[in-house]
Amino acid sequence: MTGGMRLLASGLSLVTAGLSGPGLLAAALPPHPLAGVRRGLIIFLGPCIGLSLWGAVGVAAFFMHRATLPALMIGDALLAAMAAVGILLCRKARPPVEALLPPPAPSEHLSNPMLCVLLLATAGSAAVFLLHARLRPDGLWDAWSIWNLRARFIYFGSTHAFDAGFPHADYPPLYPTLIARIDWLVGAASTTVPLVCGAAAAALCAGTLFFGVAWLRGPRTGALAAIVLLGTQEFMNHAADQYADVPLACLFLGASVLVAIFLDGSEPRRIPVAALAGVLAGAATLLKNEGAFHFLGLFAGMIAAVAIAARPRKWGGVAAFIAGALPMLLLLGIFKIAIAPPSDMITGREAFAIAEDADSSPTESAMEKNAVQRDAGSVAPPSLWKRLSDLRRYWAILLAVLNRLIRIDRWNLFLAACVASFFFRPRTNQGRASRRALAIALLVTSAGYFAAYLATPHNLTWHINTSINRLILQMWGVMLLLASLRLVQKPGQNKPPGPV
Amino acid sequence: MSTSRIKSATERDIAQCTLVFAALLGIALPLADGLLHVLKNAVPARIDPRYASIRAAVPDETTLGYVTDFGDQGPTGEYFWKAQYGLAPHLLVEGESHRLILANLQHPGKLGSLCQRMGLTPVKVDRAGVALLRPEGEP
Repeated sequence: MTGGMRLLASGLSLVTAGLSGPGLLAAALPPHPLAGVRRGLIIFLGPCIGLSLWGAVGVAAFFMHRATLPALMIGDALLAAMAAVGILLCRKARPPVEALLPPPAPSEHLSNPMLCVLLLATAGSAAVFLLHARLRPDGLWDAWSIWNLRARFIYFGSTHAFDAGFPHADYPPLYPTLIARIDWLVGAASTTVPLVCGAAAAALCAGTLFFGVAWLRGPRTGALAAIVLLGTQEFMNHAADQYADVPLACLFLGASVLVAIFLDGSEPRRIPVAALAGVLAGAATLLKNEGAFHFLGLFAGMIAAVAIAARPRKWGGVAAFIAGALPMLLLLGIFKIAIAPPSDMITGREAFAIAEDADSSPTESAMEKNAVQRDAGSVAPPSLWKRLSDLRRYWAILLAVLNRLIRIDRWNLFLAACVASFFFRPRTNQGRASRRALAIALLVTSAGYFAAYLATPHNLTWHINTSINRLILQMWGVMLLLASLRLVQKPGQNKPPGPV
Repeated sequence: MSTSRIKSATERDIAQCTLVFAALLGIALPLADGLLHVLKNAVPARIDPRYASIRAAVPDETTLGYVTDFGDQGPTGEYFWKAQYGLAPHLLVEGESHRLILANLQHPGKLGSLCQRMGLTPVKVDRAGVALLRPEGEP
């Protein structure tokens, strides 16, 4: 492929991701008293939407065996045209209400000390990321044995990309395809691209949390939430490990922020926001299997919030949420039915002989770990019914969760504090619908993860130790968002909380 | 300003300061730990350079056999998947029943004895501990 062609494809990709991400979001978002907050949300959340859709074009092309630059450029052009139509429709439907917005209260502005702390936390986190990347230049296990390995097979157009013999071959294809798409533009299967993707996902996640919370509860609370996220050790570690969990956390958070914005307002024009939330929640299902739990949770949360609040005009938003997710769900269905081998969660086949997680001791030799897993795998797993009815498994999972709450070396003080805050009465009665929806989404997601652990045919201890931190990390951004919504009043509206 | 509001504002400030302090500590400690690691330990080798010469010597999309002396690590072990990553899109399959075989060796000096034991001939040997082999008697 010539350099000129790649340059052209890169330009088209930028236009496509820009139009379908920040462009659509800018057209869909309602106005906000603080223009900077609105702009910031578009800058950080917009690329999440654009890159998801741009990656999905690559997935579709790969499914059709048309993963070549010219074919991808046609797909991009189609997506850009559809996004342009969407932007025009959103702009046409939006009434000119900007002039009627109330001026922001003085307390809504970010103080200089808080801004300094935020900048310090950002710089420190970037340094942690770079150090980690230097210590693990190819990332950790899942990076070179799943995500980046598959990206290389897709990049080379190999038919072996989803061979049943590969670890977790049933994992959805969005993330490796996204990496492969960038590789096609770069012209090589670069080791830098996955690292840059990890860094970008972390930055987008932190930025989305800052501006999402700032939109709903003011910049001070937004900055504090972002500082807490950056100060959680697991977050930067996993971003530098080049795993797909930080990108997934970013999609979970983005979808949740948009659902909260949709439910917080009463105008029908917020329906496009719900559609974009659906795009992100759908993209999460196409990124990792866990995304399905969050999608179902968010959907159930929206239904419950709209039904309980008795706001019939919002049902259109629920439908728009599903419509937004539909293309991604369609791609996921094709992948699961026609391409992916059965999941190791169903077959019981060894996903890995050794798997490494941040919990694994770095001094433990690979041989020892191999032996542990081999011993675990040498005994046939009990039947599904026996696994589900074994109370010891419930206890083991609960203990593992409790253990993570006190692991301040991994989760700082924040996980325990955040979970504890959920057991207290909210300190505000604002945004009840959005809080309800996010709480239900988190509950359904957690229940799904719990059920997956109960049903796993693998050795339970091994399975928990190699995944629980990442499962919590996926929900961490949404947990911080929900905690912010529960604990803080909107600036300038300091009424005492009524019944909640 | 009423006493309760002052108290509430003070509580909020204390909570915010605690969160900020814990967050900065949560960044500073891993930073210090990482710096110590970088200063004390050699930076680990990247995967790709180890397999670069073999990759270049193999025709497009070849399926390679895989033999190793890395303990009992078969197709589910760390070094197998690292080799698979480094050699993609060539497919690795455990065993020596292929026209071309990758030997992935912890001890490069054992290549001779391994070839003798398995009836294999070296096609390309890399100092890093990897070699491309073929069955004896095959062209």
